[in-house]
Amino acid sequence: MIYSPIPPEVIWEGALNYSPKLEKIKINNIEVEVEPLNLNQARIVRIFSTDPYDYLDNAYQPGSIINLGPQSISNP
Amino acid sequence: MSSSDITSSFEPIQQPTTTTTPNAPSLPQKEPSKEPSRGNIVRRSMNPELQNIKELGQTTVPTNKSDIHCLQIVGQIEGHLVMPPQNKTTKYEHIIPQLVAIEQDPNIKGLLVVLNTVGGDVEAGLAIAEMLISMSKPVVSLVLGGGHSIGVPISVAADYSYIAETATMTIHPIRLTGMVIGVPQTYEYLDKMQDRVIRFVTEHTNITEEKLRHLMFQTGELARDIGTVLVGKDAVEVGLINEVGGLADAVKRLRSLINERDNSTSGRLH
Repeated sequence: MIYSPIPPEVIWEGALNYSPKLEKIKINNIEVEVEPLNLNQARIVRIFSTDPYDYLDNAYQPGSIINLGPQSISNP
Repeated sequence: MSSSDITSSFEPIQQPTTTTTPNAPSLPQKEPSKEPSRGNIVRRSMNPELQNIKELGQTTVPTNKSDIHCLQIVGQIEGHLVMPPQNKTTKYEHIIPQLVAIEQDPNIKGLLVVLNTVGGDVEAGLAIAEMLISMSKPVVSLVLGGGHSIGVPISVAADYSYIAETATMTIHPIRLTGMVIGVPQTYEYLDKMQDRVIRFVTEHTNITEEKLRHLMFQTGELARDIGTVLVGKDAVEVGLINEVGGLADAVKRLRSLINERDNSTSGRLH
């Protein structure tokens, strides 16, 4: 139930067609639900962890983008 | 790049002394140009890890973590339903474990909640508010921009609440949204949901139930709805928020609450 001064038709506009493809992956032993953006990047939607400190980690905030795949070798 | 730029990137070796704080060398140098340049030795900025080994004898520098954490409640509070992407949302399932971490971390002394929200899910909002009210650590809230609808119980759940002079809070009834079959039970259910919000707000503020209901069902203020818009000091006058103030006031209050708490706990120990 939504309690907001924003009209519901504005809040829910496009909700029926909104179905992001979400995937569950494990990063550093933390299970996260991500929305893949391209082959190498994904946006974190939410994390599943029982360690509350994982939720304070800046790298795993919802909306932050993570790099997947082989890590590029940094130039010396 | 001019020669002066190159020399300014040269960082002279700093001997760590016992008097300096451990995080001082990690701060950017303020006036590198005043340091004497050593002949023609021009070195690009070093690998930070190498620099730390050189200056501190270890690879990781102790970072300067704040003992106050800041929790932002922005946009819509997302609850049981995922909102479409045009909404900026605060996810309650992420906020709640964060509050758990803050509550049990001995290095975190207090929490500043900054609100700029248009409300959202009733149950998610009440869940955050109940978590905040049951925290043992001092919590100060600051309403900036807006703290509407379900933002109201969250803002009053703090030990002390501030509202910016220009910030607004909309008090309005919970209305029917979406698919609801118009039967008396539905009305009763809505009424119950509303009572939960009203009860929470009246229990944790100076506002009376009668006054809050009056504000909620006021006509003539909102174009599409009934209710009241409280701007800055109006929210203080009706007894919803403690004080009109800004960031400095909120942090100062939080510090004094932390000191009070520290003193009372140390008093109990001795």
